[in-house]
Amino acid sequence: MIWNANIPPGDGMTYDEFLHRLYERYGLTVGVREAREGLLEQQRVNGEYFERNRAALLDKMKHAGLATEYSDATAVVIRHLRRLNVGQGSVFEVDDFIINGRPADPAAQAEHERLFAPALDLGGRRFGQERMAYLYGGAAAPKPEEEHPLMRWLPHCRRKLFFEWQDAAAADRLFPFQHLPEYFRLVGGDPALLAHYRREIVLGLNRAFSGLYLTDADALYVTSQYAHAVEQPVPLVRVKIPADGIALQPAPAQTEAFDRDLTTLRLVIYPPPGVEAQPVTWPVDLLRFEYLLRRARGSTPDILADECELSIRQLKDTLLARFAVEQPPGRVDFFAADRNRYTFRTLWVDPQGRIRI
Amino acid sequence: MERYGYLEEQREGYPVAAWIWGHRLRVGQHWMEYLLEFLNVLAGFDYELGQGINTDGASVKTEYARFTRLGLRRFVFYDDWEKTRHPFDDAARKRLEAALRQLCDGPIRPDEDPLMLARSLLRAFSAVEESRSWFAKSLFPAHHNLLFWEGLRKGATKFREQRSADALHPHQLDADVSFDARNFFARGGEVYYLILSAGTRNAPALRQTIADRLRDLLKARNEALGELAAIIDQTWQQQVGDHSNPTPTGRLGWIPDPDYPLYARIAEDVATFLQADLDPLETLDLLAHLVGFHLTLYIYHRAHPQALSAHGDGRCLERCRPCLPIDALEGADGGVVRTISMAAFREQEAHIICQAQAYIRAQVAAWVDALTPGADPYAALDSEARAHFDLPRLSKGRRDAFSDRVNALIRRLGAHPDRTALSEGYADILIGVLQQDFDKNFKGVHRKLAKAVGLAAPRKGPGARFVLGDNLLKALTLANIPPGDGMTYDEFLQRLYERYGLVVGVREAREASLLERQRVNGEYFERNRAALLEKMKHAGLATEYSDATAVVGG
Repeated sequence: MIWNANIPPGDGMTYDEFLHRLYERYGLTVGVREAREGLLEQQRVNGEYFERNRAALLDKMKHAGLATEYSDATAVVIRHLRRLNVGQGSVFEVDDFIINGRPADPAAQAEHERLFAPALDLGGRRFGQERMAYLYGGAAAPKPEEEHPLMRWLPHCRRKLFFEWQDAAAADRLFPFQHLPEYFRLVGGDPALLAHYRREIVLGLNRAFSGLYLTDADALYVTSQYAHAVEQPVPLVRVKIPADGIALQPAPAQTEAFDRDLTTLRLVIYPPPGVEAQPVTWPVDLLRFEYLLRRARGSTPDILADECELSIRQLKDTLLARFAVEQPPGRVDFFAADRNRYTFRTLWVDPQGRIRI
Repeated sequence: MERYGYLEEQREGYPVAAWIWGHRLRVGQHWMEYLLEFLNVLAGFDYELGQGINTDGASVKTEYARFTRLGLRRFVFYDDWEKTRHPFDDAARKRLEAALRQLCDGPIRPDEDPLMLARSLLRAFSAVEESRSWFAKSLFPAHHNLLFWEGLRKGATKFREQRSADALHPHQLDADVSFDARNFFARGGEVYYLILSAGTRNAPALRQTIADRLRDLLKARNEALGELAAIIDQTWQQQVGDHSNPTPTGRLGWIPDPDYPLYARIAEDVATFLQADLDPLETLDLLAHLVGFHLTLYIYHRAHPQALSAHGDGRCLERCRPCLPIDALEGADGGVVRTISMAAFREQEAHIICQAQAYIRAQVAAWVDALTPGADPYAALDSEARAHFDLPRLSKGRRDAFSDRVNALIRRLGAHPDRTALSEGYADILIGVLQQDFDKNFKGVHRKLAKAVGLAAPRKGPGARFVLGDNLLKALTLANIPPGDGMTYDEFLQRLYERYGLVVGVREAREASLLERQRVNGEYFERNRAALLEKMKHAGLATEYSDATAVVGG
């Protein structure tokens, strides 16, 4: 990995192993942001990123019910991340490939040379020199707080790799969107596939809305909870929409930036039975798709949450404003922890002052 | 100085911070407790603003009710892990649970216990824990019935004798819990209540709207949750029966300058904000952010170097506008805006300290001017200072140090001192004596509030600077744009600057003279502006159209 030289070895575990373990154990994926932004030509190295989000991450892990079970482990994770200064360098395979190539794989190495050995710049040597300077350091290396000049090449190189590597599948694998191939297939419009992924999107939304590891994908639960709960949150269910009332569809999208039409996905959410309202349409772009699928497959809110949570919150506000109706008197719907899972519960309070389930 | 609120007859002395920022804001109050205390006071006056006043034509009510809800809070918070166990509370909990058991239908299986479920449901609304004892914890007020005042069990921690509680009547179990401790409800919420009351003195319709909306929010929403809380508490009240202790009451503190124009502006914000059609829990949460923001802004306004002189000419909103550059770039510009923002944050804190010192100097100068010829000037100043700043409440060490320094001043200046030298010398001594209390109890309030509501980052650690967190951004948008309305992004930024001094784009930076003072290129603020817009678009607060105009709200 490109930043290995900067990372002091700790506890006999390389960062690589650490990230791998982190992902296996916690579903945490670190640093997707830069890759995405690189694609959008806004690459920026943001050293404070994790600093700022550390508290938020811990908070979110608590919401996911992780802090109680893994509180010691969580603290260890946080300590590691702090020391490693995540965000100061790239942690992506694609950048690793651009900088180090892949000597062990002749085909990939040949492709690397085809893409990056010829001149990338007018002078023809600048990229090569800065790459060498990055790899081997030396007197010309910038101070730790300064951005290495090589970083400026990365967005261009990523784009070049993405568009020019002839084996598209091999190139896709280098990008941190795990669900990119599935997204491409869905955009094709296979109804069975769309119905299947609709359930996963619903599950992902349920988890994103409630902040809990819910397991029910038969309905979309629009929840509301005290956001700074100290204990495990118990979200109140304001709206319950059967999954059948939700459609995942390919949707044509037009942008002025491209000279041809794009197809993305959208979610159309119809009002629950008994509610008269217009359906809510929500675009599912690749980033949201990736985020919701990761959540559905067990990931905790990771760094993508920073990119997606605001729009998900906005969707929640819209659904509440449009579909929420008064509950029957004395009825509270909520999710309660029941041994190892969260279950949908209803508590009734009678006018006579009796409490029942 | 004119004051607004409730003035105790017996008391004339207050710490220096109170004379500038009102009685009182204290650093010990948890940020959520500003909202909790404010709503408790409002509900305790039965959702009427402008009550509890004896300065400005007495109001109908002078005292607000403090909800005790001991049954509810014991049920929710008192458990086997309680920090302050007490045999009385053990007994009370046992009796309450037995009585509640009677209210549950059907046979109870361990995993299907309605009481356990009800408890975990209510417990999830625990607003402030901070390893406190059960009587000092609070619930987030999802409903009026979840509001209660901070309590204190007298002698709870000194309890040694294992008295049996079995023979006692339920009301005796409650008897030692008092509601006038003010460890955590330090009056910050009262100050906010007073700000809204003062800000609507000349706007009765606005006052009514705010009160009605808050009443609706706390009484007409989440009703089932409120009923549940009521049943639990009433079950305990029935146990206590006719012996129940009288409802405790409280009196307000006060704020300076009832006509301060910022108060009306804050009231406008709240009225607009409350029009938004959001989930009730979300509304309350955002309101907590807005309260923290307003109080921070209030502190900055009154700390402005011109605050003491500018007030009165009607232009103080403009002249005392703080300069709060927002770092929306998160360091992506190499930290240029961040550095400016950090400097501005330090500057605000410096203003706060300077304002306290300036107030003391101005007071001492006024006392010196009023000295009668022939009388002992030192004795006269001492008696003024003791009374005005309530010196007797300081520690003995501080008071002794004060006397020692005054004696040294007498030796230096003699019995008939030059008035200017006396004024300066005496003020220096007084500043030295009051500094510690000020630093300990007031100086950090703005920092704590700003960080908690997302006006400053990082949440912990050095290098504080101004930012706009997601929740605060949403609250400010709703407080400035009524539902259905919209304005262009540039108008919105201009408004944030004019109303609060928040600097985001290059235009505001220029108006605030930041570009000249900091000698930076305007381009940084241009990027800063774009970064905030990006964030607002993510949050669905702004829409950008193809002709590159962006609209906020709408």
